[in-house]
Amino acid sequence: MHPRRTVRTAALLLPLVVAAAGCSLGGGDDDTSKPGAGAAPRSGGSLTYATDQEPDCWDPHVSAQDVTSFVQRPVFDSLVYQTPDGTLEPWLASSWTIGDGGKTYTFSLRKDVTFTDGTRFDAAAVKANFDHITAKATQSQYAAGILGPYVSTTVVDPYTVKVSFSRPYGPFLQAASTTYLGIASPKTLTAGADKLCAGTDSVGTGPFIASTYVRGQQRVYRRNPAYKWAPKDAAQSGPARLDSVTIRFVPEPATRVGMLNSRQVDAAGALPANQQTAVARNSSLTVLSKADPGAVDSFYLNTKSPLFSDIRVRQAFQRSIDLDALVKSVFLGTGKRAWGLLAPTTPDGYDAALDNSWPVDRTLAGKLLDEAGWTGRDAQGYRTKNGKRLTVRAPVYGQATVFSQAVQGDLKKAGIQLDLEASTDAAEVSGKLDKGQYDVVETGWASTNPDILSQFYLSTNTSVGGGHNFSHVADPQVDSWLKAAQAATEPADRAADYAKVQQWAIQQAVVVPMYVENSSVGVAKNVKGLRMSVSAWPEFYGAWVEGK
Amino acid sequence: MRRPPALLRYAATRLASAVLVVWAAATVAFLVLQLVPGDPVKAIVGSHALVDADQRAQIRHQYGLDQPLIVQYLHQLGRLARGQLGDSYQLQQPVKDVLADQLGPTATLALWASLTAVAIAVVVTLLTTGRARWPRRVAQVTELVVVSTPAFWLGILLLTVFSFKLGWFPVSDTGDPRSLVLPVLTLALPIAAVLAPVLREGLLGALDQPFTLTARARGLAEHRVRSHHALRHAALPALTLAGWFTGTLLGGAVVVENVFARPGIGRVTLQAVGDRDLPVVQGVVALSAVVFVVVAALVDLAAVVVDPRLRRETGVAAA
Amino acid sequence: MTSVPSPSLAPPAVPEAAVAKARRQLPVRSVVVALAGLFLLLVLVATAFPSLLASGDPSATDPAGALAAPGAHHWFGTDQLGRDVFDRVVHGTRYSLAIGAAATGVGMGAAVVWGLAAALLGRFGDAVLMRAADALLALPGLLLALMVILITGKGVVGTTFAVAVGVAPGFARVVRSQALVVRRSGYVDAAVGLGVPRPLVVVRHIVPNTVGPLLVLATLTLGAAISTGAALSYLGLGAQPPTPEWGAMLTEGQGYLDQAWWIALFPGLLLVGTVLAVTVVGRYAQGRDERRSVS
Repeated sequence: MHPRRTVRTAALLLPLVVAAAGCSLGGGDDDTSKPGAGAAPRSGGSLTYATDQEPDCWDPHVSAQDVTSFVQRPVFDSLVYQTPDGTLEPWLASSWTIGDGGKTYTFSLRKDVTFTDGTRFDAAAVKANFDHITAKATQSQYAAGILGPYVSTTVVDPYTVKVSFSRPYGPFLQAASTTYLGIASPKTLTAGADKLCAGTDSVGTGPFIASTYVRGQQRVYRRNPAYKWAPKDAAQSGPARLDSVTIRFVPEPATRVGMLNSRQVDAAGALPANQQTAVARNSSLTVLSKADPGAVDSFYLNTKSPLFSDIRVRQAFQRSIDLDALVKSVFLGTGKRAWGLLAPTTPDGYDAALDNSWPVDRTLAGKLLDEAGWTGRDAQGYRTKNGKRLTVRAPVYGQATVFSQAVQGDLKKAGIQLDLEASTDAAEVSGKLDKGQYDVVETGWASTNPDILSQFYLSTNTSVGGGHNFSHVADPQVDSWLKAAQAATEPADRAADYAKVQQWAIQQAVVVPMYVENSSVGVAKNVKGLRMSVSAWPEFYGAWVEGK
Repeated sequence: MRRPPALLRYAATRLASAVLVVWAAATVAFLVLQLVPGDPVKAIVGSHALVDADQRAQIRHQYGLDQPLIVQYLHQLGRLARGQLGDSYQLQQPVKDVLADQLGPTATLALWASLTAVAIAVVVTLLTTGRARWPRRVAQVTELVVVSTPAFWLGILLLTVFSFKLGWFPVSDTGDPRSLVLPVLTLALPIAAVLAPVLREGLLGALDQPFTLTARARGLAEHRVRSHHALRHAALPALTLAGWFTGTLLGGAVVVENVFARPGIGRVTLQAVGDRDLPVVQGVVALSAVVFVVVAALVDLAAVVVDPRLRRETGVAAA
Repeated sequence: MTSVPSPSLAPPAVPEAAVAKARRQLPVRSVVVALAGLFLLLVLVATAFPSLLASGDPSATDPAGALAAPGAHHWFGTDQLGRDVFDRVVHGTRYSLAIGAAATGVGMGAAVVWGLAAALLGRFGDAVLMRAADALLALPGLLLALMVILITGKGVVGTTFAVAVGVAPGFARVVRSQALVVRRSGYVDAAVGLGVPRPLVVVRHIVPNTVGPLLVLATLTLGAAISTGAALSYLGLGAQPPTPEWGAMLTEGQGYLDQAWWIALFPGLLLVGTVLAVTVVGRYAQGRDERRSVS
């Protein structure tokens, strides 16, 4: 039930979708062009989509917001395309070679592409974009980061470009497929940060052209009639079918759903779980949903905190939560209980051996807590030790989710108080994280790369250093598994190493994986061909509206 | 224009006190926002770790945050004097441009809401100051209930019934004038519910005054007596509510724009508070103070128009 | 308060006083007052001893029994986590009423110090303090509240201060003018003439005579304060879930209006009812107060 949050939040607790690949889960569908769609695609018409967030800054090279990558995707194409199932394929680059042991990437570019302002797309344009992203003055909050150990871009010939790194950098191709590394017209890159951020000067090679934008209300996209360079996996080629797309910014969930039910919009995103069943019951609507791959939403237990330095208390905490029942009631069948750190849809990372290996067991938990000395009970039924209540501190940025409240209620039955310390002060929350003043942190990180585990368990990735090792794990064995996995060339070897890390994490009770999250969009039934992208946002390119 | 010097003096005093109020509001805002905990640079870049120390220092310099407080304060005032408001932390644009963009929708909303509130209040007043007691009773109870209902709840109820269930009005602004109806009503009803009793009290008072008797004696129709003479008298106490009125409109805009997904100052304000975008908050404070001062001036002018007795006092020859 | 706007730039009116004036002229029937009083009494009991009225645990979840309609077992139904809405509404009284009352109290306390200081500190002090009040009055109450929340952060305490800051400047002006009247009255002159020390005159005579009339005004402000507190919760800045504050409950329940109207309806009714009752009782008290001072 998370609303999609900004990366500012993400940096603290819920890192954004770096990339995602997945398949649909439980009842949902991720494409409205599936069999039964019937009628032939129709060209023309318009589609209105309501979303909850509006970007602060519209320049994907600068912004770290998840929503920016979505609202700019129709405008900016990338070198590489990642299909909804996670395969990487050519887009603006027609092919590529990896050289120097993974340190250089040489792209051959399509020769028939023009930006919508008439500028030709070529190697110089690609270089201008990467230079813009990495320039100090750009103050990139995210795009420069996913370029990793980037060194430089060289124009080899007008349609060949070489990107170099200081060390082998495997994740680059996937990064190059995101909107954050989308290619903008070089002319606009010199327009100034304010214009790029304002979203009024967005010019790319995409299937849609950014048209009128009113902050706080909506942005309109017009079809790019010259478009003929769609990736192969797209359902069609040539210009988009819709004449125009409008994205409305509607922060109130009830308003958004009301607009969809009363058909004031054709589709609405960020549906609250409770509304998904209601929307699905409406005979003129359907729900598209897709599970986010990557690190599932989990409690990371601080092994250095006074409370959780005792493994018995950690294990008791892990076994006290009735996740099956909670996930069912909160997500009403739209989410799935997790057993391992990585979602089942994560390539080369999911470890099925963990399934059903640590069911809820309050008797065992009680025994462990008794052993650890938490034998007393206070007036409210919480366990105590030397007169001190068994309180688990959980810093929360913004508002505590319904799910964490449900966990709070459940833990109370086991005599454990979960203290959700909600604060809107980002500095306060990150201060607590940096200083280790917490017992658990709840977070997840959608990604197609199983190496996301390194973010959480490599001993050097501490919160102070910008990493997410909230459990304060510093185990040479874990480090060596993770490093071996990064170096491994065989997918099976990598998977084996990541499995070891995940099993270790469960056995040591440094983590409580909780649920696999779905992104859901409510769609009118006469909208066809709308599909969920790899990062679980709708793609408008192939969509059309029947009889309108 | 009988006595220009008095008028000039009056205008000068007014202008001076107007500047004083805006300056005081800007100062209070500056001081208050200094108390906001945490490093402003963190608010600017988020806590994202992909920004290194050099870049942080650069940002600090760019926003003048490396200067002593007093220098920052003087800069702020200097900018304000020139009509500038600095740059937004999050939107990376001049605050002035952001607010200028968003002023239109809020002004439209506020204007229509004011007109609607006044119209409702006047109609209700005229209908409920007759002989019969029961219309007054009904109106009074309704007013009380409306005043006691939080604006956001009123908005949600209106939205659920008239937009989602009945489909009479679209929700968010699409250029369709019907989309203004529900937000305007949400803003206007509580104001009308406060305004109507004040008007009614004034009107009932006025109907007992000698001038009403004179007007009736001259043979004026009762509705003309009420709408031309008595209502004018009753408007004066209502005018004293103007300050409260303006504040309610601006505050209400925050809630209404959010519920109805409308663009505007209120939406920007709420987002700025959430993102700790302090320059925008400061800009909104300055803007509100200016609006308030202008409204106060207009109200005084209106009072002079309504009540001839005030003309001599101020030297303003109006109407 | 004069009925004619002053030509100076002072804000045209103290809003609370004007609103109060608007509200008080309804001849309140004693039956209505009695009903409102009874309702308030119940609300007060719920605040002090919530368990007397609702024995259940307001935060006890029951996933299996979620979204149950109102019935014999759950009078007001259950919410999305299976929590009993009646228990939550009753226990929530404490937060909603406390935020309103504490905010009014804090705001009034500050206003008394502020207004008295302005009235007694001489021209310079008066000018500075009253210009500050003017500046704050020039800003919408909700904007002030949002600024305060930037400093205090979300939550019950932050909301209380945020609402208080909106209340204080208006009150401060009333306190000041009241204090000026009292200071010029005969008994203060007499006390000074009798050689009573100045601080004692302030504490013994000026404060009680200034604050007394304010208490009625405070009752009327209480309703507005409760409402503002709820609005802040609705905007996600006030009391945080799972605190059963009415505004926060309304927000949570809003998403379920289609399937489970009771989650949002009951806290909404209680909120409107309480504000209504407070206003009726406050206005009745004010009417009595005025009749007493006239006779």
